[in-house]
Amino acid sequence: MKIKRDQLTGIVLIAASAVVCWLVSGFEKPMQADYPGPKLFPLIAAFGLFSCGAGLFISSCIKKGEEKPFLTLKGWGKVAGLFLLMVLYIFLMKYFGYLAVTPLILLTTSLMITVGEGRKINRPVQLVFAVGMALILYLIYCKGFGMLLPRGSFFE
Amino acid sequence: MLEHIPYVLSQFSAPFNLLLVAVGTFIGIVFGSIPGLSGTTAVIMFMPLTYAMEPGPAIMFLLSLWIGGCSGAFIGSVLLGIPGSGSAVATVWDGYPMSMKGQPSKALGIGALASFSGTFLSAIFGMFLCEVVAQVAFMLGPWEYFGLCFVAITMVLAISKGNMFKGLAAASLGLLLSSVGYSPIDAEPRFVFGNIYLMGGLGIIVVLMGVFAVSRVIVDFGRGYPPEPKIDTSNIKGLGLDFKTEIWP
Repeated sequence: MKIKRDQLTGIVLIAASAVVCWLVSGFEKPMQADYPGPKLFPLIAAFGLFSCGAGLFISSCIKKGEEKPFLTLKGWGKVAGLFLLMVLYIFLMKYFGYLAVTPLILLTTSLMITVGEGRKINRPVQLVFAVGMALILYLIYCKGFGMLLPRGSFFE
Repeated sequence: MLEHIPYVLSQFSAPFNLLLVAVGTFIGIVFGSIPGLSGTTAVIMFMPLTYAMEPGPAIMFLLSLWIGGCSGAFIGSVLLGIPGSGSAVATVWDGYPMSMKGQPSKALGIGALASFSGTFLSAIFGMFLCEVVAQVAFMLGPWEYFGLCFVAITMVLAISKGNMFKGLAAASLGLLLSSVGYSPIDAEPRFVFGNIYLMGGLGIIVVLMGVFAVSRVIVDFGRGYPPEPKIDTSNIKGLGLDFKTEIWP
């Protein structure tokens, strides 16, 4: 039996509501009739997630007909690659700092997005964009807002 | 309150102040149109410049930054499908499809006109009615706030296109995300996981970027970019709108 997209969404919502209930049970302030406290809103949200998840699952089971997939397997692979790159960015920035890693990641991201998409992009412009954008963001945050960006443990 | 109006009007008569308003509005629009930045960011960045100014010009400059930022937020919604602020979310649903049909100038024209009329009229109403509105606001209590929230949830159900369950699930998810951080009354940490960045809660801009920008990137990148629309630039005059047929038919 092939699982439908809405059925999967319903199962994920029900699982999320269970996780929320488990996390809420760890809150120290007790829930009382005269003062519900900080548990009330998360529990309302959990109830909403559960009821909507169940509703989605049941309505999807009743509904007949094929549904169009959200993304193809190749599309999911591309998206997963992009997310992995973001994870790598966070990991590398911790060790090598913002200025060393950001231009490289920006260049890689723009190459990933444009290569094989049939778009005519000037490669030197992509390089200038990657370096320029990293520098502009650095100036805005460090000079404009007076905030510190990661310097990287390797250089400290 | 009305006794302050002559002072305000006198501030507008100074050419330097008008220049400040024009510059502030332009900068605000630029900040508002870039998703992730906003009028608030512009005010924060340029506030140090106002320390050496007189109070009148300084407030005019900051106000124009703020209003420019709020007004410019619709540009990102129309051109990228990513709203610059919470107030521009609804513009994504109508403005972005117009851009994809090759009518970005018309969508931008409608947005600019609506933004100007809304801001201008609300400023006039606010000037004369702010005391009355403040008196009404003081009368609002817990029951009224509950009623407002109830209406908001009902509206979510009413305007959910296609599937009501999905609309209500999104509202529940929003409620859950708004619970992140220390609870306002008891200071109980909720879904913080020991992370200092989550203690203050999730910012609306961060959530908007996650919901709209990331989903746009995923859809476009995963499915392949749609062909760029042909934009008709041959007959654009003014705001791209025909007053007789489109604004006041």
